[in-house]
Amino acid sequence: MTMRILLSLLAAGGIVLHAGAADFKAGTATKVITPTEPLWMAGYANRNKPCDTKRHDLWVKALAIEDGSGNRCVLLTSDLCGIPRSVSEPVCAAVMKQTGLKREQILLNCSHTHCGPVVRDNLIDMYEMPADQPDKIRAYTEKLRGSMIETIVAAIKDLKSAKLSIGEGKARFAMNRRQVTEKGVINGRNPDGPVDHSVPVLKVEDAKGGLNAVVFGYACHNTTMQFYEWCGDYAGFAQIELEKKHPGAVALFWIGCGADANPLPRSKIELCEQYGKELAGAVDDTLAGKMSPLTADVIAKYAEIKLPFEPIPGKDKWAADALSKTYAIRTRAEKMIKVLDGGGTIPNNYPHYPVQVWRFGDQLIWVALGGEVVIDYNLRTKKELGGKNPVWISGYSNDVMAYIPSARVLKEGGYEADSSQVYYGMPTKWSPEIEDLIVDKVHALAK
Amino acid sequence: MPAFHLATFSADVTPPEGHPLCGGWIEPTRGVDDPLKALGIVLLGQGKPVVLCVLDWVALRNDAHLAMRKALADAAHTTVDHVSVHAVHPHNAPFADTIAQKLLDEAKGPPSLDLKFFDKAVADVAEACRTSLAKTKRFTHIGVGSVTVKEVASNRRVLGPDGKVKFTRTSATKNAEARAAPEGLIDPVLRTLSFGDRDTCLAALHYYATHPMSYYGDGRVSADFCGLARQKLQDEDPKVFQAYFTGCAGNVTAGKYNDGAKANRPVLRDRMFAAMQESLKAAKTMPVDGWEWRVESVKLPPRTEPSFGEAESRKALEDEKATKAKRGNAAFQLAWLKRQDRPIEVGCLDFSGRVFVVHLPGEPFIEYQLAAQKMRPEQAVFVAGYGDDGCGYIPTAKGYLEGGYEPTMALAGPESEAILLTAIAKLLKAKPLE
Repeated sequence: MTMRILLSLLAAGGIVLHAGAADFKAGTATKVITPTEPLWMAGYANRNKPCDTKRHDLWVKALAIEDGSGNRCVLLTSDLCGIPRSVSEPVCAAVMKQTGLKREQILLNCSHTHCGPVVRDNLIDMYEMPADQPDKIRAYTEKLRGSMIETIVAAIKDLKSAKLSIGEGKARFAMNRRQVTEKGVINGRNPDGPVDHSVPVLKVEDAKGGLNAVVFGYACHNTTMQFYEWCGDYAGFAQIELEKKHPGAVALFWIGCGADANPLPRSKIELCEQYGKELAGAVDDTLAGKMSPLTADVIAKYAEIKLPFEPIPGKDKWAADALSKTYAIRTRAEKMIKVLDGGGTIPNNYPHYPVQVWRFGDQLIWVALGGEVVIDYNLRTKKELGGKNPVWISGYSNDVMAYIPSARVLKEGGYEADSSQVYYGMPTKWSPEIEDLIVDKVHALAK
Repeated sequence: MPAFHLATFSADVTPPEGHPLCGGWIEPTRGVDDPLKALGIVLLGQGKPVVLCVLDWVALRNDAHLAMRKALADAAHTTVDHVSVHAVHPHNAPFADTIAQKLLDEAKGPPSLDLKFFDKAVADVAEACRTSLAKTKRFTHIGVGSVTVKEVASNRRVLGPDGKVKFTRTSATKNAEARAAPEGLIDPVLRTLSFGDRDTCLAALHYYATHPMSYYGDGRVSADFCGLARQKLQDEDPKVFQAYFTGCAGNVTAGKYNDGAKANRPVLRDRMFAAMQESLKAAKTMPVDGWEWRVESVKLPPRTEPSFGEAESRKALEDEKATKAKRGNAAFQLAWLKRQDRPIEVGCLDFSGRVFVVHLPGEPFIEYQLAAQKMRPEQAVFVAGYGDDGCGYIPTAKGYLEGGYEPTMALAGPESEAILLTAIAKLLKAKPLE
């Protein structure tokens, strides 16, 4: 049999000629990041005291992957509300220095639990807190950086032979929250609105077929609870459930583009646990079903782009806002006035919006976007990039600087488009151009 | 991989002492033989949640029906069109029409419903639904079971040789000659739709078409023999949620097999219990790959006879010398006329074209249920009646000509048959019958 015949036979049979899954390596590491002293909680402006109890621990977890050609990448997940650039950049710089990884090979995601601690520089204008808290938050954030670096480096050191495969489950509890009312769009519920119920799953098995790690995502605000207990919310419960069911395995959750979806109904711990179990069940069903081997080499790309704002308001607006009864509006105005009084100008763009793509040949395109990304990006990117092959889109990655509304959402208005910018300290609304700028960059990196 | 979940809920909707029963036409509540329940299931995982709820009440009409649906939609985070609310129709039970009650209040007429009790019942049912969502269970399969029920249902319209109704065989039929007449047109089959996680049964919904009364009018609240049968099955296995829906029983009662003796209630209960048990046991399961909830809006035209019109109804309502039943009925007639601009929603749950559950308004004649089954002869077709009961009885067009009791009470005209059958055909994606 000639080589040509052999090759055509293989091609006809759909057999992929590749060195094989055994060439992959994977490593994991985890670290508890639950605050050890009373600390302010992230995500809601109306909390009025620090938190000193926990429902369960908060974690940072890392999964390092090395393909058959020696390309590496590492995912860090965390039970945090947001990761600001002032955390992600030093962490990445340190990891790059210690491991030789490149920036594009590091993906930092947070679960967006609103029952985690405030991290310095993230949503900082939101919280009106006692004078002792900023120092404590600074100290916590410093420690957190160290934990992240340590965890990623440990995962790299843990690299060993592994078999990777992917699949997709479904969980139904995410509901679009943008409710149209006579007074405009409110954070309510919109059962007819767009959502993505898919649950992407990455299975990592050791050489003997034992489950080493499972990575899964979901596009929904991780905000069932608003209480004074440290808690990973539904994503925390889902990871705990999976780790309980698969002793020894690490479960890592990343959040998708569900900034305009809420777990509904919510606010009861029973619902939170229930959603966690449902999500874990969807993952478990996927693990037990037929999954597609991930064997192609990974090409990682990363870029930072400028995202423009609408025209920046003048000093009159800030002077008026400085008298507002709302803490966040006042705080933002004071900052803007300080810039102007110092002779500076308020930037008309956010200069370093992160877009990242990990491409595993034609087997998987994994996109990671910064900020609180609304579902339209997910749906559009999947439509435009997806064919037969899966496309995963993580939000809340590498830098959570603001909501990232689509052109549609910006036009319709509501929290994601308008008022949330105040809490993030942004001077005004995003320009509707940002949607195309982001999606175009995704296309460019995914090529 | 599908991620279908269900939640089940139960709330007590027993009226308090003194509360009117059957809209105030009969003795009010003097005691409780067994509690009345609202039972519901929420299906999750295929678009908007679908809520099916059934109460051990006589009926919910017009705005009262809508209020219950709205509260459930709110609780389950879905839209009103995805909520179907039904009554089992026992008569020693509340009859809810809030518009009619407000009219009765204005006219200082006899009470038909305590509006505070009604509001509390709505809130309790909604809260039960809301709470149930924290205990959802995954389901992967549905099951379809059926069994022929013996000696329960009989058509209550016994026709004479002239083609007119000779006897109205009421739930308790004392007349031996009427009892001796043949069963007449019924659907003798009790059907069960079950939901399970692989081999574990989680919930069973039973459907059978008969008026569910053995006796009533003594002020003793009871879900009567169908509700009691359901409860007996529920008590036997608390792990499997049980609900019972009355089908198109507008012209079907247990009259042939029941003379109203109190001893008959447990007998009829046990016949229904055995049927439910057997039907569930016989259910053939199939994997669920999704469902579709469809709704058709219908406008059933009001009767054109003057006695059903606004002027005569109002006169009767305000006539202090008229009987309670007459004044109450006039209020129901006016309430129906008042809501004419809002159509009735007829729903259908379609499991991949293999299993259909049709949700009908009013008290439809058995012919509608049989027609629905005939439209989809190869598939399992379940039919629940007693949804929005604003229109009351829905006889066939021919039924109006045959006379008898129901056409004297039906609030929609004979054109309703064609309208409803067209809607059913659309919902079943079937051709209308010739």
